[in-house]
Amino acid sequence: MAQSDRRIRMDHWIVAILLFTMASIAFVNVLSRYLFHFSFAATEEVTINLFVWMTVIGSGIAFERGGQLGMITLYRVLPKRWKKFVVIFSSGLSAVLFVLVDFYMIQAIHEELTLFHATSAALGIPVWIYYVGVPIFSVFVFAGIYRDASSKLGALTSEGGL
Amino acid sequence: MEIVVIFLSFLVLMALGVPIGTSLGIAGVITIYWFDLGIGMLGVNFASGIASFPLLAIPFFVLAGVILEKAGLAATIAHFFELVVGKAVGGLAMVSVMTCMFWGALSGSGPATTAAVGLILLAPMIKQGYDKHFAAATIANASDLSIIIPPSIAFIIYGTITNVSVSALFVAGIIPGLITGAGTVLVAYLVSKKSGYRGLERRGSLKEILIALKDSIWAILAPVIILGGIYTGVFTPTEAAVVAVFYSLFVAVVIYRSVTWRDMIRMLVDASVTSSVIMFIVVFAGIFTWATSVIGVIDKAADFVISVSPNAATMIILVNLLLLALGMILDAISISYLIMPILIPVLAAFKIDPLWYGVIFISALAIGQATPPVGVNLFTAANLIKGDLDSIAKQAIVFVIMDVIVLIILSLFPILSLYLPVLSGLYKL
Repeated sequence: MAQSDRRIRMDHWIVAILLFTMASIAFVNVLSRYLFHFSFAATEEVTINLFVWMTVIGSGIAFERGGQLGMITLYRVLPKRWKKFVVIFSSGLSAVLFVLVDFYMIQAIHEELTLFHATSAALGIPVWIYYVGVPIFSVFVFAGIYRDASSKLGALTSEGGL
Repeated sequence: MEIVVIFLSFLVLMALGVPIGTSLGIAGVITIYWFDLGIGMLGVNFASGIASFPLLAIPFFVLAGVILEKAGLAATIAHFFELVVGKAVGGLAMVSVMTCMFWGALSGSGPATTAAVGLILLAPMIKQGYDKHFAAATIANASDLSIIIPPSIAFIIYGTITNVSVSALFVAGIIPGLITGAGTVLVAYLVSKKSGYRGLERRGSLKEILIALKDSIWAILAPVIILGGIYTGVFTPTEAAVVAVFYSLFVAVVIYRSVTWRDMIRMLVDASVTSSVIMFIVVFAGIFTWATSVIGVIDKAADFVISVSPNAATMIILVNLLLLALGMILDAISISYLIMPILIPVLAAFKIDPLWYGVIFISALAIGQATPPVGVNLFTAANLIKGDLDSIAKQAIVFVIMDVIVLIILSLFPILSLYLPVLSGLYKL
């Protein structure tokens, strides 16, 4: 996987803070359970939902770094024009997938706000609050897919030849 | 007919180089849409596929590994092994394998181990006269051990899919991991002997070795805490992982003082990204498997496996062959999601213990991490030496043969996998 960028960007800050918060909550839980025999187990719910947000942002950075796992055996031997097509096609599909996830997530949030008003099991937080991170942080996924595609296309163009 | 189209679309996308997670996701969405399984739940299913406490162990173990690597612990451990076995024939090759084994007890991911150990030992090995492709193949292959020796991301995934206790799986992996490690050391030694790779000039004195042991104590304590906590049942794997994170932070910040705030942010970002690459596959593989199981493909496939296998042994051999073949083109996580749901009813039909089978399954998949064209450890190693994948893969063949022999041994003797979990009380047969 590519090395970290030199500059720490906003998405880097957010994802770092999310992971650190997750680890801290989980650690405090372990300590309190074993040392003080007191459990904040309900906060587990916050941790696992921050995990969802972290995964969304992390996936965006992974796209940007070209770090998503895939099979490049065939891609490597394709002629250049095909490579360009595959890059656009592949990035387009990834974007479509997240558009669909976001679309149905926003629909679910809308239903929560207008119809169901469901609250979470442990802390009684309205579930839409947990949901809303997915479409919001997806912005970073689209940015990552775009950056990945444009850097690959740029490299293909500058190589020259067929 | 539709089913053929769904699987074909997945395979074509994969072959074109579309990310595995995207390929699974698109195929899953097509299935859900086509069979009207409730596409409206896609967003919520995406979130609930990630929001699981056992899976939380993945980012935490990844983070602990990143911090310990940054603190320089891999080098400390490598130095200790160098003093002990460095002088023997193939000394550095064996040091590499042993360091990979040790790192496997800190990290649950093959490529992470390849990178951590490769950065330290590839250059010295090449300087010592080793063929650089053999050096890379040794480390790529020994890094397979990371997913057999606990902690292991692959076991966390297996446990999530099959509902087998991840703690029991971790403990089950200890003896098979040591056997595979011993086999890898042996191959490294034999190849080195044949190729004339000599050891280092001198052996460490007892005093030097003891000093190196003292320096390594912080590294050695990490697996003791992680595995000890899990073995005694004090921690769940996720708890052990988060304890490992803060232990690593303590070692890096207080003991080694090698980590700045800027490093800290970078490590958190890198760990998030690595874990997201895994979770991206987990979540869409989960959706794909769910959709295909609802339309009955899984049951049909399971019936098929049962019908072509006259007995349990044949089934295990056939599936092992399939896993080795799939391991060449897919990563361990996607294979687990594609194959295990089919095998759960098969295991029940043949009365095969799912814990024991987990060790067989993951050992078979571990081999795939170092086989081309999609071998995550091979990729990482090839990047490190700026070398070519195929030349490394050729050198890896002899290791793969040894791995297959160990796989057969593990398949013949279930006690190797089941002894410790039963002894620890984490598992009842």
